[in-house]
Amino acid sequence: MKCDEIRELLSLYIDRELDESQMKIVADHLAACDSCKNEYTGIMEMVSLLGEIEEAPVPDLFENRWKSVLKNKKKKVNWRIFTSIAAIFAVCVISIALFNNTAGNLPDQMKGTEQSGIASQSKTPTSEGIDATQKKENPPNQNLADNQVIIDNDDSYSKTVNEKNSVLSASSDSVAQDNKKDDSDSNQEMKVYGSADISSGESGNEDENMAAASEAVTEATRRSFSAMSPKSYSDNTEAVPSQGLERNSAAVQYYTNLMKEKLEGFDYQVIESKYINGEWHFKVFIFHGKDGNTYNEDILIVGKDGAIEVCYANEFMGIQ
Amino acid sequence: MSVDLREKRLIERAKAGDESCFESLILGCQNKAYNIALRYLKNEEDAMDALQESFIKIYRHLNNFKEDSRFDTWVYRIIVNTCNDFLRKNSNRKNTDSIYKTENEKETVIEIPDSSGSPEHVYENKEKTDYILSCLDKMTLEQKEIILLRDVHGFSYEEISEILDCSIGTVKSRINRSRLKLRELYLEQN
Repeated sequence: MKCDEIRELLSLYIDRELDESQMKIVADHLAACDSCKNEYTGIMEMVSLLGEIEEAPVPDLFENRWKSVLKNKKKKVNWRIFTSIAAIFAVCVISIALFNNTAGNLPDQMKGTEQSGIASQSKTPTSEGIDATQKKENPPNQNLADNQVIIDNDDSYSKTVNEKNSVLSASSDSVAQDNKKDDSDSNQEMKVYGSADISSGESGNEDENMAAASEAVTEATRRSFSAMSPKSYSDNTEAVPSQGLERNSAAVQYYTNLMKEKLEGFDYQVIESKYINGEWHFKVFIFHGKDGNTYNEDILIVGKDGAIEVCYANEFMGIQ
Repeated sequence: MSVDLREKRLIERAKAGDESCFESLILGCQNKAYNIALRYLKNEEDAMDALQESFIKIYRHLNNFKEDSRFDTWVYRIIVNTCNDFLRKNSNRKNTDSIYKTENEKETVIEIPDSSGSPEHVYENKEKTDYILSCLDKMTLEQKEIILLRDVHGFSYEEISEILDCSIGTVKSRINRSRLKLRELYLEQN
């Protein structure tokens, strides 16, 4: 073996990492070659010198130092988790508070002066649209122009649109306005009067003028629903008048979608919703049926446990 | 209870969050760990900083430790990597220091106690040791670290392959080349 090859093996020879035969070859070579022997001796001297370097003692303060740092780091980790949880909790609380605040304020905005503001947003197809300012300034029981509507928070819904149909006058020129706003009403129900002169004395003309009046009421009722909705409904989409409805908008939206499917092909309007004993009661006004017939009648749909059921409806409407 | 079994128990408990077990494990290899860092960084404060950083890393990543290797070898590997990162980060700082260094300033000298032999022998050995360490500083980091691990700290080839994450064949060739290089530098300066 040449000297270069032996030099490549010197370190392994020193560390006894060669097998027996190689160890013997290197040993024999070193015994015969002074140059390689010197190299070996020099490396051995260095290795032994390096091996004699004693370990420096760890400074006394170090042990306490890293232990305290480790504890602080641990605390930091816990603190980070704690702050994360606190932040998530705070976001949830603020979100809920904001949601309740927004939802709770909406019905209030519908009271008083805001009501006329909503009315002013409604899009009336005729030039005789609702003049919000005028309406606000008008005293109760003042006659209004044709097709003007009034939103009333009176609790008694017994006076339905149908009942009003029976007392419509053929002229439909004036409207008896009842502009009472009863804020003490917890149900926040809304009553809508059609554009008609409500006079019991003229009930005799009912049969003759029913057809014409009915059309007028239908149109006026549609506008009134558009007016009372917080949003502007240009088509026959659902109005959302109740405070409970606003607060549970997710549930109501869900049932509204179910009703949309159920009443597909119907011309209708959700006019009232109530949450009673775990059930959602929706009063829906049907303008026209699937078959194109005019009904102008209420039906009652109850939403419970994620399903809706038609509790009261004219059998001719064909709603199951 | 054998050392390995005891270490295993300590590791299990430390992984479960027992801080005192973690401290026991670290104390078992603290001295060697400190000296590795000291030889790499040549400064007590830097060595302590690197060691502290390493211990925090070890604590955080204890669950990643696979028990098919030795705990202390894993610790030394982390320390070597931390020291290398430290050197890379501070390579610019070194240059900046040299600009402001005054003529009277001396380089940091690590005091290593040596209690063996006669005063003359001690002095002679001290001189030789300082000299060989100065030769080591002239080598590349790769050559220097393998000499330190093998000849100063006495790790086996297998341990070095684990610490440096390379094959034993690489360790063998690197040790041989590094020693020959050190010998060359040693003779040059003589």
